[in-house]
Parts: sequence; structure tokens; C-alpha cells
Amino acid sequence: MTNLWTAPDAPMLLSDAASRTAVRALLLAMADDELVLGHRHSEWTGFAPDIESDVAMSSIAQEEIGHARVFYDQIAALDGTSADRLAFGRTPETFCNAVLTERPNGDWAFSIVRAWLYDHADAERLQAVAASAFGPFAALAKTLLREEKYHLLFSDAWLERLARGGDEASGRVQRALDAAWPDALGLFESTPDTTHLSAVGALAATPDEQQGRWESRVRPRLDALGLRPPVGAAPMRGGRYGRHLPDLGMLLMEMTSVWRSDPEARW
Amino acid sequence: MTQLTGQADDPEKLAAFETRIAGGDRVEAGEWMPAIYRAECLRLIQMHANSELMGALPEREWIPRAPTLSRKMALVAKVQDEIGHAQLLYRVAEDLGKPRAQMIDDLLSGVSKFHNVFHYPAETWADVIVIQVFVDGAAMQTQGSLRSCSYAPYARVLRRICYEEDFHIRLGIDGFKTLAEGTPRQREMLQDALNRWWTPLMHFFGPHDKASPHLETMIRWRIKVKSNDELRQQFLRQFVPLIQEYGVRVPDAGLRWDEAAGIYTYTEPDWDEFRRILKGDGPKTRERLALRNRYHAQHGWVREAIARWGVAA
Amino acid sequence: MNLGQIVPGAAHVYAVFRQDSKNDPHVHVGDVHASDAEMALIFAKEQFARRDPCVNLWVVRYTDIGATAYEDADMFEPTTDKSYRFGGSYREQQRAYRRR
Repeated sequence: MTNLWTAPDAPMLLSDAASRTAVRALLLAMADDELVLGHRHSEWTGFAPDIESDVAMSSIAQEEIGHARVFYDQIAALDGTSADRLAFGRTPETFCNAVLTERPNGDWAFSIVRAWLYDHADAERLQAVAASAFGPFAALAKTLLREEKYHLLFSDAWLERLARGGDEASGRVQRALDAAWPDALGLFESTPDTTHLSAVGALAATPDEQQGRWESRVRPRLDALGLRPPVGAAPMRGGRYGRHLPDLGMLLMEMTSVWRSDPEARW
Repeated sequence: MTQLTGQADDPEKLAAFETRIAGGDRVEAGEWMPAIYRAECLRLIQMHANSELMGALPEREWIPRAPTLSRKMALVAKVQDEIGHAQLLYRVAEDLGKPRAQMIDDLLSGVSKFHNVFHYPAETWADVIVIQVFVDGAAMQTQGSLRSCSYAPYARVLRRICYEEDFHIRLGIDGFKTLAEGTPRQREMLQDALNRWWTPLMHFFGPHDKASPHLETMIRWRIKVKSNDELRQQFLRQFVPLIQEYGVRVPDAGLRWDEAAGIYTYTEPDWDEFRRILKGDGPKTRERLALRNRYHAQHGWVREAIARWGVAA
Repeated sequence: MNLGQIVPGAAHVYAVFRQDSKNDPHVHVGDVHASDAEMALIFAKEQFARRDPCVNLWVVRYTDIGATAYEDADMFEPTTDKSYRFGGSYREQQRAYRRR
């Protein structure tokens, strides 16, 4: 693992505490997004609508969790702890995932719409890192983008087939979109840390700019599929600041139950 | 498609078939085969496919609770493999004349069967480990032997299945070692899990084979390659030393290695329990089938949407 | 014959061929159930290429696969002398070729 903090081409910007804090915050938000969403995807294991989708969704779940681990490992190197401790040893109000990721899976329509909106947003965020001046982080983002490509292929193919699958299916997809859209906007919540990173060139696009690009991709596609995002929806913010739904608390309670039975044990 | 029962096979074709099989030849889908051969292969492969699908359930219960990121990903991958195996096996079974959707319906309605071990609960994290080592280990014995079965599509798919099952067992042994060398609570959890799983494992290969014309035909046709007892002994020879190596107690106090006979002797398990399980009366049978049925019903609209798409495209 | 005759619901079963690396042939590795070829490729990637990467995948609907029958396997066996198809019988030429 290339240690982002000590890599020879880590920019001078990391020498100041504010920048280190800001990078850490971004890594944490990305890690928490991926872990929580990966956990939700993994809940479909054994219960997807068909065997082939079950297998495909499982790979996507593994990859999201794998990406989370990559980010947690970087934070762990800075903090002097472990990825597992970061994933399993924190309370909900210290999590920085967007609320979109913690929503329960609902029906297949909701899960696909949520995944699709997220996959597009994640691609924008990774592009913003990949195009940044922060060399080692940019390189890391480029490799993760390769796996994300498939995630979008999968969610987009399903979105199309459901949106054009008759009245019941398209109705469910529209309702899912109505529910998920405000949450999705919360993915792009700006923080002082993201502002700082953009200012020092460690993010090639601010969250607002990422949102703009995201909308320019998702809106035409939704339109082509006969789907309408809700108008004037208030973004579901707060996730980046640790404000979550009870859903996250329940998720973490379950996720950490064995780990918590003995945090010092090897599993 | 050929009637599965009641049809008399053409005696000339049957004789030619017997000669071919006796000569070591294999059978491919689309070739002529005796009605009973087709029916037995379908029953066997279908049950295997069903078992992979149902086998995913006890383990997937622990995916949300896997105690490290590594174990979490590995468990998702492992269960993914099982579902992938079901995919491969249903495909093989389909070519014997039964659509996949119908096989799944028969599983969900309780008409067709799945292996005894998947009717039991996975009560703790240690159960997941025990399943990975011993249930997969048991399945490996049967699957390994059937790589030489005469029905070629099944034999081929078993090569991939055995290859992947091997990883599962290694992963399981890693988890087993970790718990066995862990805290007193972890060792206790592991011992308790093994205690509860021992009888189902001893049941896994079925009762002692009773000689019958049917069994003789299955062996002659290489649909059955090793006897239940042979497979059980293979399993014990491979896994009893492993248990002992890690200081875990074999749950059967009566288990002994008989040097002279070259076999393990053991306390005969209760075969009534096994028969009840196969009739669909296991501790978790109804609950698991109900769970699968619930999701199946919930996804009805998805199947409809896809069916429309398939027509339009 | 057509493989669609063996497979129930063959219109939604796709044979998957994977190419390990460039310069390798595409090899049949199994099949997926799918509504269409695009979905079949998406499914095939995970069912048949999640462990060993490959560079290319093909999918073919079973109803489009023509096949010979096993009963006719005997027509592939040579009955008359076909040694002219193989170089082994041309010993003189081999020796001359090597001398060059």
C-alpha cells in the first residue's frame, strides 16, 4: 500500500495540519460511504431477483467494502490504528457517509436507483481526485474508477430494464427516484474540508461542481427513460457532519455485534 | 421430452448404452439415455443445485455481522461462490429436460429436496467457520468422487466447483485456527458449534448403503461412484486429525481409529432425525423456505418486467 | 440440429465464450440466463471472469447455435487412408528440406 502521507510525491500541502485534516476527512467520507453502501448491497446476497444478479451484486458489494478498506487503511496509517478499528469501533455520530447509503434496501427498484445515483456521484468524486494535484491519491482514485465502471454498467442496465418494463416496474422506479433524489443531493454536501482541498488543488472539482457534472449525466438519462426527478427537493444534508437516521445506528449495531463481543480478539 | 417414468427403453439402445458405459464412455446432453438414467441424474443434480442455493442461507445470515472487513468480504465471496455453483448446476440439470424456473418453484414449494445440513441453524460466528471447514469438506468428498461420473456435463462443472470449494475449506481452516488459538470464549464458541454440527455431518453422506438392484445400476452407470460409508470414512480421515491438531474435542466420545480395519468406528447417529429432515421437518426448513418464498413473491414484478424486456428486444 | 432443442427456454439462455488474453481463442466456459445479450455480458463478467481476468467475452443465444448430433460422431472418423493430410508420410521431402 502506498502510504499517501509519506509518499515521495505527496505534495508539500500535506506538511500543514489543516490539509492533513482535510484529506483525512475526505478519505473518511469516502470510506464510510463505501462501507455503508457495500454493507447494504451485501444484504441482497441470496435474495436478489435472479441467480445471475445475485452473483453480480455480490461482487459489487465486495468491491465497495474493499474500497472502504483501502481508504480506512490510509486513515489508519495516519492515526496509528487499524482499518477494522475504524470500521467497527466508531459510533454513528462519527460516521461521515451520506444518508443515501444508509437507507434500507427496500425493493429492487429502490436499491437499483440508489446504486445508480450513487455510482454516478462516486465516479464524479473519484474523477475530481484523479485529476487533482495530489499525485498518490490521484493514482489511487484512477485504479478504483476501473471497478466503478462495472458498477454503473450493472445499475444502468437494470434501471433501463425496469424503467421500460411496464407500468408497475416504471411506477416503482419513479417512486424510488422520488425518495432517493433528495438523499442523493446530500452526497455533494460541502464542508470546510472540501473547500480547503479544492483551494489547495487536492480536489479538481468542488462538491458543487461535481454535482453539476452529475446532474448533466443523470438528468438526460432519466429523461430518456421517462423518469422525472422531483422538482425543488431539499437536499438531505447532515451526513458529512455525523447527522444520521436511526437506520445507521441499527446497521452499525448489527455490523459490529460480533466485533464488539471482544474488540481485542483476533477473528 | 422423454417421459421420466414408465417408458420402456429400446432394448437395443439400452444394450449399446450399457456397453459404452462399461467401456468408460461418457454421456453428453442431447444423447440418447435410458429414462431412469436421465431421471436419476436430474434428481441428483437438482438436489445439488438446491443445496447450494439453500446452503447460502445459514452463512449469509452472518455477512452483516462478520467481525472484520477481511472476513466480511471473504464471506460475501464464499456465499457468492455457492450461488454461482447453483447457477452452474441448474444449467446442467436444465439440459436433462426441466426448466430452471420450474426447479426453483419445486424447491420453494417443498417438492424437491436439499441436503440435510442446510436445515440447521447457524447460531454463532463459529458456526460459519464450522460450515466452511466441515460442511464444505464433506461436500468435497462427494463432489470429488463424482468428477468421474458418467454424465459429462455434471463431471465438468464439478471440476470448477471442487476447485472453488477447496478455497472455501482453506478459508475455513484459517478461521478455525484463529478461533481455536483465540480467547477462551472463542474456543468455547468453536467447540459448542462443532458439538451441534457433528450429528448433521455424520448424517451428511446418508445411511449405510443397502445392496439393491437400483444401487447396483447406479454404480454400474457411474452415477454413484463411492459408497456412503467410503465417503464418510474419507471425510473422517481428513478432518478428525485437523480437529485434534488444534486441540478441539471430537464431539463423539465413541469415535476411534481402528488400525487393523483401517477405518474410524463411531457412535451410530440417530437416523430417524435424518429421515425427518429429508421429509422437510428440520429445525430451520420451514423458516428458510418461507424466507425464500417471501423474496420470490416480492420480486414477481421484476420477473414480469424482464419478461417484457426479453420479448421487446 | 439446434442446441435450442435441448435447452428449455433457450431464447433466454446465452452461451458464454471468454478470451483469456489477446491471441487466445474464445472458449466456451458456461452459460447464463438473461433477458438479452447486453445483460448476458454483464452477468457473464461475474459468473465467468471474477477470479481469472480475461480480455474479451462473447455471448450467443442458444437458439442460434447449430450443432451436430452425437449419433453422427462416426462421420468424423476417417475410413479411407487420409495420410496425405499429414506430413509424416513424406519422408523424402523432409530429408530434402532439412538438407537445404
